[in-house]
Amino acid sequence: MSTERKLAELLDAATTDVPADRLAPPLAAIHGRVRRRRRMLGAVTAAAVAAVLAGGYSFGHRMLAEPAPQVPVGPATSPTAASGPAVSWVSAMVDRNDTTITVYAGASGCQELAQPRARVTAQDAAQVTIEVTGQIVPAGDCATSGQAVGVVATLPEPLGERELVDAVGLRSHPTYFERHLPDLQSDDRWSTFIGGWQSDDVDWYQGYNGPNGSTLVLRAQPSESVQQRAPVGTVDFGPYQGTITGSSVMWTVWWQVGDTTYSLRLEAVEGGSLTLTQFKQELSRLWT
Amino acid sequence: MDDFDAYVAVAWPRLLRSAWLLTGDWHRAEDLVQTVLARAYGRWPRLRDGAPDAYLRTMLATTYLTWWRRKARNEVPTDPLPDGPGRDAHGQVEMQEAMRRALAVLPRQQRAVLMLRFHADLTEADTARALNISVGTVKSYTARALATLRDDASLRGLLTEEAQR
Repeated sequence: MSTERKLAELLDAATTDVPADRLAPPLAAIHGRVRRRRRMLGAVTAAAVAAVLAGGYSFGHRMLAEPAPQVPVGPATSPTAASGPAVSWVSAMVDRNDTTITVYAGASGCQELAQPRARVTAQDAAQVTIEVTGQIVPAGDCATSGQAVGVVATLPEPLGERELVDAVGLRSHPTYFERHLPDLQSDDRWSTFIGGWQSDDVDWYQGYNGPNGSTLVLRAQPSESVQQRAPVGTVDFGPYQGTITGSSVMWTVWWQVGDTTYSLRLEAVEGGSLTLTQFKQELSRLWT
Repeated sequence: MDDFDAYVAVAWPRLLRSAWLLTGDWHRAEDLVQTVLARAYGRWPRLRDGAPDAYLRTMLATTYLTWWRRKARNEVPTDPLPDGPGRDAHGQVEMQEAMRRALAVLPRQQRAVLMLRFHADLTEADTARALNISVGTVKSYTARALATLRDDASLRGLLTEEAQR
């Protein structure tokens, strides 16, 4: 028997034992995802169609939002157009300073968003409108295309309680705040590692390498999409009360602020373990 | 679409198993399969009369490759291993753990190639098309992955054991 045939049999045998609690297909959850996906795609499509029908919509909108341009402006395709047509963004993270906003956008299929730029096109006491522009180009590698791209816009004054709005379609998207997360950037035990996610994923993630080979992942997501497993306890940390799920291999704490659920997952080094007490101690330390 | 639900009811375990080969973790495997099925739902009228398993396994691989990238060595968290008397009478848990450990050290592309070639039973040409890479690259990834797996002491033992049956 060839090694390849033996491997095929081994792969098959190694996966035969699906845990009993995973055997039933979660049809309701799958249909829930279908509905959320359709809502999002429908909105993006409608916004794109509206932008095309409106012709120079984004150009005109920019004119309203910014001081008079320094150079004459022509149609949207003129060299003064920022970096391409306006594209919709899907989520935003507001920096701890409340003025730096990273919005996440991307391209679907085997395409990429090139040369993206973000800028504030309008703001008032209630809303701040951010426009992302860029070129949608064929991806060099379809297997790795579709990544969300973070693009930074800087506000002249703090966002405060104002709502972020996408210039394409004038609609809001999930907006997350670093102030609701622990400040791991200033904790020298943790170092950021490069990560990414798909551009149609409205969730936000950031991973860190930590002491003794541990790994920590922060995540923010709309509360309506949270799929949380049975909690094993609750914990108070900083100004929040969270629920804990997981086991000694990997603990996660979940806490809700408004319509957003934030989570922190701490994984022990592979082959290691972490007690619930140790996890709670780490949480306390992260929020001191 | 009732036939979509009927298909999922039957195909779920085998898709989940393919996803586990990619993620090494049942929770993530389930998340991956759900993601792919939600995307496939709109295309179901075109998929159902073809080879949906192969198509969905390809989607599993490409979606997995564009997922949240984590550091290479620690990218696969472990589900708690089941234990208890009689639970592992045939070395199933041991085999699964050995395979999970061995797959965990492979680069993602190699793992995707192994899943498509040896679990989804795609040809080299189909695997190449699925991942938008050349047939030569598929061969190269396969060879490198097999070499890595052969270097794993536990897996080498299991492969030998399999060969002797």
